[in-house]
Amino acid sequence: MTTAAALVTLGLAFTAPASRLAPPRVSSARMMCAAVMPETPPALESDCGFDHVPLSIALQSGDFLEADQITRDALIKLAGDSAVSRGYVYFAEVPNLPEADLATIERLWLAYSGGKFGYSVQVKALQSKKVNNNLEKLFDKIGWRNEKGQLLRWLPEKANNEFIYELDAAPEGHLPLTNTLRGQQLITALFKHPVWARDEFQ
Amino acid sequence: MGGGLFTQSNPEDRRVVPDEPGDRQIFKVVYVVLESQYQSSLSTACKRINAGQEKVAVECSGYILEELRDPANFEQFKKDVADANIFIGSLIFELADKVVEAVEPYRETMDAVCVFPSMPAVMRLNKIGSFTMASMGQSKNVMLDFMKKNKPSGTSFQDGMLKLVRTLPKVLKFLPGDKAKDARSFMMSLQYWLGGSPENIEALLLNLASTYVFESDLLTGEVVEPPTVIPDQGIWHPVAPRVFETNEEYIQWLRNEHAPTIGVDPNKAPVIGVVLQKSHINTKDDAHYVALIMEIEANGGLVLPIYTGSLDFSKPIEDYFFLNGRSVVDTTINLTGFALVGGPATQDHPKAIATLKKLNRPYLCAVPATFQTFEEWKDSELGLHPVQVALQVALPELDGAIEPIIFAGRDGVTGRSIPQSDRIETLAKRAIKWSNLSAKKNADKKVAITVFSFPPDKGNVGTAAYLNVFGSIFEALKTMKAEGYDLGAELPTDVEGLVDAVLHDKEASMASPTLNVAYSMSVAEYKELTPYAEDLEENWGPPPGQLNTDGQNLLVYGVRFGNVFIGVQPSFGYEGDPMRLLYAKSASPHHGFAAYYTYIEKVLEADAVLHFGTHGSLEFMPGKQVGMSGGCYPDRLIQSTPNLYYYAANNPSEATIAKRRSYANTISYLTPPAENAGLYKGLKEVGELISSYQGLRESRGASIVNSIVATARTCNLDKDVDLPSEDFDTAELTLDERDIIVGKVYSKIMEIESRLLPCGLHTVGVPPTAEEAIATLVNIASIDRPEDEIDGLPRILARSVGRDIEDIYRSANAGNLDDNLLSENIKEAIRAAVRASVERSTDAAGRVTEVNPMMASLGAVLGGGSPMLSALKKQGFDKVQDPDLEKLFGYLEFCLKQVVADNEMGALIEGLNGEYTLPGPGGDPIRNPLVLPTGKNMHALDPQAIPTIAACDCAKVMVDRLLERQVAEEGEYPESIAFVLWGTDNIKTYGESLAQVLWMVGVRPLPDSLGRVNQIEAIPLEELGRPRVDVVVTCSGVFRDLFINQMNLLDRAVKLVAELDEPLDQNFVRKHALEQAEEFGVSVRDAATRVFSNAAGSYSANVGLAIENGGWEGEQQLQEQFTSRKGFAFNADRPGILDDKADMFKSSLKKVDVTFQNLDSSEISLTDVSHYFDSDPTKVVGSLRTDGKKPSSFVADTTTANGQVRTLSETVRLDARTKLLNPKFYEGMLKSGYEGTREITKRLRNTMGWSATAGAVDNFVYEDANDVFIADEEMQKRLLETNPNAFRDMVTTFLEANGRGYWETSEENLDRLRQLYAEVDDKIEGL
Repeated sequence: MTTAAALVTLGLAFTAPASRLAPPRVSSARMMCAAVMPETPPALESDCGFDHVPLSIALQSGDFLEADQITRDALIKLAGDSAVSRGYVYFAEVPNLPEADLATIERLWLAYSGGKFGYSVQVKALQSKKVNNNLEKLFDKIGWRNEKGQLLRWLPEKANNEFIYELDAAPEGHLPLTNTLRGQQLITALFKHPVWARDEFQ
Repeated sequence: MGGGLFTQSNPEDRRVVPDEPGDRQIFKVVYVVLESQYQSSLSTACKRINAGQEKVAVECSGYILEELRDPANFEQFKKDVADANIFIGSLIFELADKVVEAVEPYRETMDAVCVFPSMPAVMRLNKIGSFTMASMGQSKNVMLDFMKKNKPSGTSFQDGMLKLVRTLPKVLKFLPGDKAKDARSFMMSLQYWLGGSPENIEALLLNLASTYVFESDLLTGEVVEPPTVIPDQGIWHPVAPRVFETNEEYIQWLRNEHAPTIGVDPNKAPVIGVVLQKSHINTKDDAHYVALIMEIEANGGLVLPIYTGSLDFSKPIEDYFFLNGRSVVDTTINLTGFALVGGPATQDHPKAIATLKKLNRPYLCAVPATFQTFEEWKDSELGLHPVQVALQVALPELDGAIEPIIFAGRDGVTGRSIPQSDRIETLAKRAIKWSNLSAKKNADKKVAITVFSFPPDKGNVGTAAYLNVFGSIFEALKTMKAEGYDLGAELPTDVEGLVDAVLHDKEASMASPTLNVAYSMSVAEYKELTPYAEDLEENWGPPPGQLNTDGQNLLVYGVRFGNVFIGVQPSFGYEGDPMRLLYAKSASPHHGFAAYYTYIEKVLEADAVLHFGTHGSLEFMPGKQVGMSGGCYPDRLIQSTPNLYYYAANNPSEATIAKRRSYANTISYLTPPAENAGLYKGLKEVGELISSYQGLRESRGASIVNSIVATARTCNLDKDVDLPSEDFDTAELTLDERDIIVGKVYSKIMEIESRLLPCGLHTVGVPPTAEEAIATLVNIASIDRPEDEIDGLPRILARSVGRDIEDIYRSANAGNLDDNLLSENIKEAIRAAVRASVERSTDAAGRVTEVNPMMASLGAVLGGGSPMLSALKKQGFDKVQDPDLEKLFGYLEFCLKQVVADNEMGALIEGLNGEYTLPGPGGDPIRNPLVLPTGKNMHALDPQAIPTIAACDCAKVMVDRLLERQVAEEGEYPESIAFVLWGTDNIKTYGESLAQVLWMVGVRPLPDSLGRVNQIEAIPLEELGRPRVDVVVTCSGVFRDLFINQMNLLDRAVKLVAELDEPLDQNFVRKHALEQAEEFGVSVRDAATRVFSNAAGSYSANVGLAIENGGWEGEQQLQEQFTSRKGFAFNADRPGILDDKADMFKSSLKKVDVTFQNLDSSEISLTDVSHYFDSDPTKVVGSLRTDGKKPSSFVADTTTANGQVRTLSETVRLDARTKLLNPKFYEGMLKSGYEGTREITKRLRNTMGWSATAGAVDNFVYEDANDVFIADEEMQKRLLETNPNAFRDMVTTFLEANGRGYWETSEENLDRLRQLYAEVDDKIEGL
């Protein structure tokens, strides 16, 4: 099983090692960027008994790279067995993603990034007057494009990954990443999911 | 950006070396592939080997075929091959010589060479143990028979190979084990290769390594697993649980399981058939396929995605797109980018067309950019790589493919295919709109008919080459009404009414300053609906701007009848702006232009747009040459609306631009049949005098000759023929000398008389009358067709009187009276015979409804023979026999059927029904009757097929005649000749003018083994027998778009010759290049820059626009436009860009002694279009030359069997005499009313263009024209009444010609013109 889907924008498909799906090593040697610590930890709810602890740990420890990977893997698993064996989420599977789980993921991202990262942050940017629902403009706004106008590359080797995983350095809405390697229908469907309209995310 | 090379992806990115080799044995693999999708499988396979094997490790370097063009890459490749153990190659149909050059020397030392389907020369490198293909022809090798039987033709090569793969295991069982082992290894390798997944490739490499590199089992684990494969062909959907092998099963899954999950109603949704390549599926390089499938489904469509591992994609279409004999798809998109049958090897277009016709749905062929990385395509002004244009745009067009949209590309680093989101969206939306055409009822469909206005002026609305536009639209509307389209209640009842509705009131319309406004768009609405509006401000300021506006709103001109809108396409907008005309690159469309197309797409929500006639400006808007991006204006303007485009059948080159840049599905229309120009007025008198001379030459010869000479003089024939002086009495001459004079005048007269003249304008859907068919057939019958082994009638008749036709022509040209008469007699006889042959098929109404066999009752009828034979006998050719005629008239019978069959209206209705339009070649119906019947989606030709051998032969004749004439007049060879190359000419003549350039510098083009002309060799000076003459080649923008590979060939030829060590008085190319190398401080090779065109995405010198508009300041402006716009050089050493080399251009033009153009068809002659003078450098050269000498100017005329080289002035005179001044021409035009008047004015303007750019117009041409159109009051009135705007333009042109010093005339004439101008102007302005 691969997480070939877990790549972003015009970067590339790649067969990531299966260990990517394993829980993160908390004592990672990676350089961490301190996460924001909320007063009360967000509730971990799931419609399908999904384990959100790994994501919670990664975010708490400020490992946004790991958290980003876990998030994309989670969406694949939440989409069902066929998505897992395919390795990516088909756009038509998005409306059926369990709402409670998406809400949990979002809550975690918002909480530990101080409201800077999260799908709802991206959706708000998308609907802003300036972006006007134009994905290309959104990519500019959330820093997914370099100064030459090319989309950043996601590569499994960290050294080559062009995205920013430091809370302070990243633009608002920069994470989590969604794969546009197979076009924009997945990200479009994801942004249309009703869960982002919940009051708690406004 | 790539320094001018096309691909800058780096093979180093692909190199795999083991991280920790330890003491493992290393084997080295080098691969070269066309299909970049193998790259990631190969990389992954190597990494797996290095991670999983204990005793062996692999080092791998890989190349994408195209990268070998870069010399640095090629050197590295050779180094890599030198110490490789295993070489793998696949689909090497280009650059075969380079691969062979690098691999051959090391073939012996390598352990295994595995080459999968490729050119035979590369296939012969194969070596797996004892198995080789080099020994073909000697041993009883399994592959031997296969290779022999399957000469690369059609698809048999590919398919045969695959079939062999499938059956070989069985065959091998019966062979002795040892002998079969190596052959089996090869076939297993091929199977693994076709399997394509990383696992398969890993097994392939390990298998070869253990058997042939290490020859012992050093491997860890079970490696020699059988190849895992998916079926050779099937239906694959990313979400489906499996590959389906029948469409019933797939459709069941699609309707019952998949459609509900994507929220699509399977009973209403359009079904888009998608054709995929297996190698992308089995290598899992499928992101671009998945992206398109998702996009279509998200837009409410269903997808039927099929794949095959073979290169015959028609097979899975036949197998999966039909259910119970009916098509189950509404539109087909071929995502492979290849021709439907044959891929990159050799194609079988008729087979493809048969399948697609049966399917009868729009067929789109989208292109994955594979020869360059995605970034390179995006950054390139040229757009798609020219090799890929030839392979994946031009060849699919021969199948009738439309819409070459670049939907995916190759990532530079990983080689993975990645979709381009906005292109995918465009493609999906366009496919769905095409599908809607077959789903919607006609009554609900909205159609936008677009007409043009060139130059922008009320008198020119509805401009189109040789087309009666409003008459044709009227016919189309009638037909559409009958087909159930909603045309509202107020459809005009006649053509006049229709014209009025669009022009408001064309006469004192006069009172209304503008055309009818169909829609008024507020600036706010415009901005909201036009996402790119802001980008136009750079050129045009904020909307609404100055054009197509009332100052507040943007105006869409036209009229709406029910669901059908007839609109007037706005103009470029910069016609009168000298600065903008000078820009090397063209300006963006203006706001009014954008608003027009926004209206069609977003306000009207048209289901289709129909561009009516040749041609508008949408497809000439700035952007990439081929392979539009979302930033290119043609793409932004047309958006998602299907585009049907009526296009003149004789103009395949510009039609191709429309197809590629504005996604047009063209429908060809016939140009009017050509008739002989005939004689009139004084010329007629001369003709009659000559007739009487024949009978009385001995008794009253001298006095008749005196009259002939005097009359000829009044007709200004003294400019063409050496006549005795006015007071000379020819009685002083001998009979023979008088004969020569008469013969020469006669020859000139007959040249005018027999010039072909298209009569009037064509109306769509009206097939030619019998008379018109005869005119066309006469011309067809007059040409030899050596390729079909058919002799033309002139040759047959000459032979029957014991003469050779060339000999008769030569002698007639020299003035021999008898041979002039014989030549005339032959022409008469041809007309009579063809008339006789058509007579039995002509009905009482003078039309041909059913073609009866021409030779049927051959000889049976009372020994009288065929009717043609008796017609010929009546003309005195009594030695001809029916068997001599059989082959020719058999052919003419076929041609007659083509001529009278007509599908122009049919194709329109079919196109609007969402059906497939049959493709066909465009060109000259006389040279290539397959252009007929019209109503086809036109295509050019395989650009790699030219120049043909026949074209080279013709080119040599014309070049030799040109040089002969110049040497006769100037006493020495010219040092340099300026050529102009046109797209259409080269399509019609299969590259004659291209070949002329090569012959001039003394270079021979050579084909490769697939017949593609891509090599050259210098002809030795001894063989050439004359010096190599230098050239300056100005290519039209269209030629550049269609034939950039041929520009490459020309540039290589010039550079090759410049670098030859030859005496400078025998090699003018080298002589000049050496001078220029010194002058510019560059190498000789760089100084040998002679192939120029416009900047990418830009067309023409804009001289034509300036002349049409009239607002140019002086000739200096025109010349600057020419040198700055045309001064972009092609460089074979850096083929990816066109460099601005105006200095080099001028420096080369400075050395030009002769300017030269070709004329290939009579209906598009020097004064019919502005192109020829737009690009003529004659005066430019004159002003650049240090001695100020005007160069000689010649035109090669190959419109008739007896090809001629004439001076430019002679040709302009000939054109004026046969057209502008010829009553047959202008009366014919006047019959078409409004459009006809405009056509006459256009000829006059174009004539003046020749004064401006070449000084090639005699005063008498203007004088005579003034007599005909202005001095004659009745004529004046007729012109004024039919088209006052065009008439005003004519008056202006006369005054302008005088004002600019091109025409000297009497004050009386000028006064009349000035007065007329004031009158007409007042009338038009409604005062």
